[in-house]
Amino acid sequence: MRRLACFLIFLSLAVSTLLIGCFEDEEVVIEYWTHADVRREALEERLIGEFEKEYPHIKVERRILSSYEMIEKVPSSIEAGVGPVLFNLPSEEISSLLLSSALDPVDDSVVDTSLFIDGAFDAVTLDGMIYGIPREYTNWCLYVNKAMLDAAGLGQPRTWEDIVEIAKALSTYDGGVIERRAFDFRYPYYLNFFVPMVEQLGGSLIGPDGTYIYGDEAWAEALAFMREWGPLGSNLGSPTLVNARTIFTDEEIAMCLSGLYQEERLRDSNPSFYDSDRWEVLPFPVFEDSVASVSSASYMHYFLVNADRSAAERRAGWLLASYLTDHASEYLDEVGLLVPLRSIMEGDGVLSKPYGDVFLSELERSHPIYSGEYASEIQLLIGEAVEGVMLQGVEPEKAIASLRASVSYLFSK
Amino acid sequence: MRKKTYSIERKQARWGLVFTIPCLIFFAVFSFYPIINAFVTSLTNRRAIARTSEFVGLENYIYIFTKDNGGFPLSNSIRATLIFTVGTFIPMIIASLLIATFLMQLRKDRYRGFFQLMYYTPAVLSSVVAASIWMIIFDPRGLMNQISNFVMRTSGVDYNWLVDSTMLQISTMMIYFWKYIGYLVILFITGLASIPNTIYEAATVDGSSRWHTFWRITLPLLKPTTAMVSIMAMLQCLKTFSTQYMLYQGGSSRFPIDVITMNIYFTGIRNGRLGRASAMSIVLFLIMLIFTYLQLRLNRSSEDVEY
Amino acid sequence: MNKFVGKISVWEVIIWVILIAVLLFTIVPILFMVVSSFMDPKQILAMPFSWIPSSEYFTSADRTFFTNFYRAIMGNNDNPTFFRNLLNSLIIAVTDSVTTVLLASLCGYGLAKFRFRGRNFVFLAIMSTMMIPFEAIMIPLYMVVSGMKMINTYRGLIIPFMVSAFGVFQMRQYLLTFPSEYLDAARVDGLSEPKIYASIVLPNSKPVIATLGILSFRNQWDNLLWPLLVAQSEAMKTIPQYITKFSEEKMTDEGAMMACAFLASIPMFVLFFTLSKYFLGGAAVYDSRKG
Repeated sequence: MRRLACFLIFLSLAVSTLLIGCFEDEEVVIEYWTHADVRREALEERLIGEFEKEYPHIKVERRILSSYEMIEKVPSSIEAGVGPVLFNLPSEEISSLLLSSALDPVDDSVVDTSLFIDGAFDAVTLDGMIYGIPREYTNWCLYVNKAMLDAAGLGQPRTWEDIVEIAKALSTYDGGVIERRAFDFRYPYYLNFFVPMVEQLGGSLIGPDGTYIYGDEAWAEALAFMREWGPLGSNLGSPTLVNARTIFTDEEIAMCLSGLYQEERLRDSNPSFYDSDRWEVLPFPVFEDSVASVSSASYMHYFLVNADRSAAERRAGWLLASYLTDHASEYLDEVGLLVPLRSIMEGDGVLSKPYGDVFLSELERSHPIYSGEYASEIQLLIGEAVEGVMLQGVEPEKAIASLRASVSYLFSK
Repeated sequence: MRKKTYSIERKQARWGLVFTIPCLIFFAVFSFYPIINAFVTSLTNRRAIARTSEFVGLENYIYIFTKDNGGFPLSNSIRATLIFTVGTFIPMIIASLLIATFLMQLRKDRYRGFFQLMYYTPAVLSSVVAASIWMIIFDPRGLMNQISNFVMRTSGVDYNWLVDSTMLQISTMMIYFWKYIGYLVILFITGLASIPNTIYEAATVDGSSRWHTFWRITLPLLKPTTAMVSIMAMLQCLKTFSTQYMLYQGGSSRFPIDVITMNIYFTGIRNGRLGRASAMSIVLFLIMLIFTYLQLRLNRSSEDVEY
Repeated sequence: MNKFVGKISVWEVIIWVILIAVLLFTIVPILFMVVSSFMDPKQILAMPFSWIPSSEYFTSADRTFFTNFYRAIMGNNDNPTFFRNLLNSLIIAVTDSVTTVLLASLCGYGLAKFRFRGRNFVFLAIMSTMMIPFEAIMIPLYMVVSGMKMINTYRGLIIPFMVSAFGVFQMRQYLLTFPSEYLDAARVDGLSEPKIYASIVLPNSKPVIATLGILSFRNQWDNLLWPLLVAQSEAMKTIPQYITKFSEEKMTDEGAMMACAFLASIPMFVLFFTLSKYFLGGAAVYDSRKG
């Protein structure tokens, strides 16, 4: 008898806890994958802590991947059905996920898309639906170590020809071996810097007539410029060397291309340099015979949510994305990242950054990076064309022909 | 009586099957199933994430053999793979066999042990470490240019180790050779050590020269080892990936070192064309199958060696 | 004439020269890594290269010879997962080499010393898996593993590499030459087949077990692609991933890079040099068997 009583009590307890469990918010664990960014880390850890306090039923597992890992691992994990709930990718890496309906449409009840600037959703819009929230809006300008240029009596570079001239003056060699460069490009992000260079000369990725790799002369001239830059030409730089923007911080190179966030990294790693007047930021260079004044392509990183996950997880993902977006001004102040909200882009925050005005005015000269179908593949193909010309001595005409054939083939189906 | 021995043998034979079963199950799940899956995929136009896929027959195979696969044709990959394999595996086998023979000539085991140890050390490092070391050594300002300039009696010449397409291929071969030479030496030494001394003693008594002994006695007796080592080294070379991948990530061009595995990786993982990538893997699989078959044919008698 | 010189023939001199040349080739890059890990990046790429780390090249006042190591361990975010990742690599490599030796010797023994129906088929089937490039089956394999709910677990990192076809092949090749008389004698003594495997075959396979064990340890230690897919959290990552990530974050700092590479190699070096006696003694075991 006693045993039965005990059992009944136990049973009722179990049932009641179960029922209570049903009415309470179920605990949701969301994995959030993001690319490594030293400055962003501390801020985001703190914000996520606060977020978890505000939404006690949500637990966030933040995982940091390198940029390469993000590009390779996100699609393969989604393919295998174990993708993260929330992640971010740059504009040019999204189209294949978007077109294969792997992404969850933005939850309108959580995110107010009208707060963002025009065009902020271009890379994540399909058939009128929006599939991501922009978290970073970036364009590259020319960082210059003024002290180095002054010491050599060189003026401010405005054109690519100026850059070559400065590079020839400042690069040091031991015989044919380059010891020190003055500037180098940001390989392998060819859609960001190389396509704008072609556009300055009148060419483009897709021409007004719909042909790919439009404007043979412009492409040939830009490729010839790269060959002249590389080890087969004047030997001023090469994709195999250490990337320029990191050594700029150590004052080992006179110029590099980077975004506004570079200032914060500068402040972090070399505060005395940051505080000095030894550096400045100048507009993205143009060619002397440019027909169009085009700056580096602007791009965004988007918060994306995996369509495979449960409704509760997806909602939690958007909640976190929106929570982080709400702290846009902290991202600007502490990390130097622009969230493309109207309030940020029109506010004083950007202008209070050193050379913030340069970045803003350059944005007007730039257009968004190509983010349509096959963007990621096209970037690899352009890379092969440029590197073929720069490193293997392929004739520009041949490189253009095969690039065009390859790109056209991508779209032929 | 006769019947009894027969059944004992049967019973014993059954144990053989029992011993192989754990491995068979393992390979069924982690090798056969995935490769069959890959074969089926190769007959479809499946793309990553887009979960729809249609049966397209041999279209992918026709495509990879006739089209340039977006600038990276399979023909180039086969070229790159074969050049790498021939350029790495043949020198590696010859060098390691010679080194092993030389080491066996050393009078003191202590010296032999020391050399073996030192030769093997690179194999202890992981490929990532190896690639990061060599990338610094191959830097224009790095050690390799300095050594080359010293050896070639030139001054300040940049040999473009990571740039020029020929040099780039040589660089990958060098890294590979460096990493695996020690391991092959040890395999050969293990093989050499298994040849009974009595045979050498007999040869010495017969008055054979060293050279003669090597060709007539050592080499034939070493056949099982040579067969195993060369098959292994060859398959490893055909499958090479991480060295090329690391150099590519370090900024070198992909085209000259676009070995088949790298093409599979880019076509399948980066560009998400799983059907096409699977077709390439099946082609690579067949290439490796044919090479192994040829090797086994060449070494057919090897298993009959008795001491 | 000196008695000593008389003993050394031209042949021997040539052998020594060749052996030492090869020695330099294998050792110099490793020495380079070791000395560079104490250097300022400026010194690493100085021409001509000097082999002794010098403080003359130090760019900042608070730099010491160990700054590189500190940075390698701390990473960029002062969230040191270095040791955890190192431990992961060790756990995975040790487990896999033990299972490889056990399973491969079992299977190799079965294939070498028993004549059962389908033996050749089994052998060829296992051999054929050697020809499957990992990149080819990566995605299907990944789906198998994720279907088993093993993503981001030790199981997912360990189980797909529990045994290798090459291990089976090597074991079989070795055991083919193993005298069957020993086994028959044991059978006459009434030992069961598993007992024969455990008490005769395994102990007599020490040299090949050593080479195989070290090989599979090394292969797992080296594995980058699979952990890239399977290990997702920082806590599950392995040391090659740590280095790749580190190299990307610290593109420029060759010194910290080399320190990281050096630190990551120390466990392998220690293990290798301690095991080497036994490992290189392998040949002696062969000798004792031949009698």
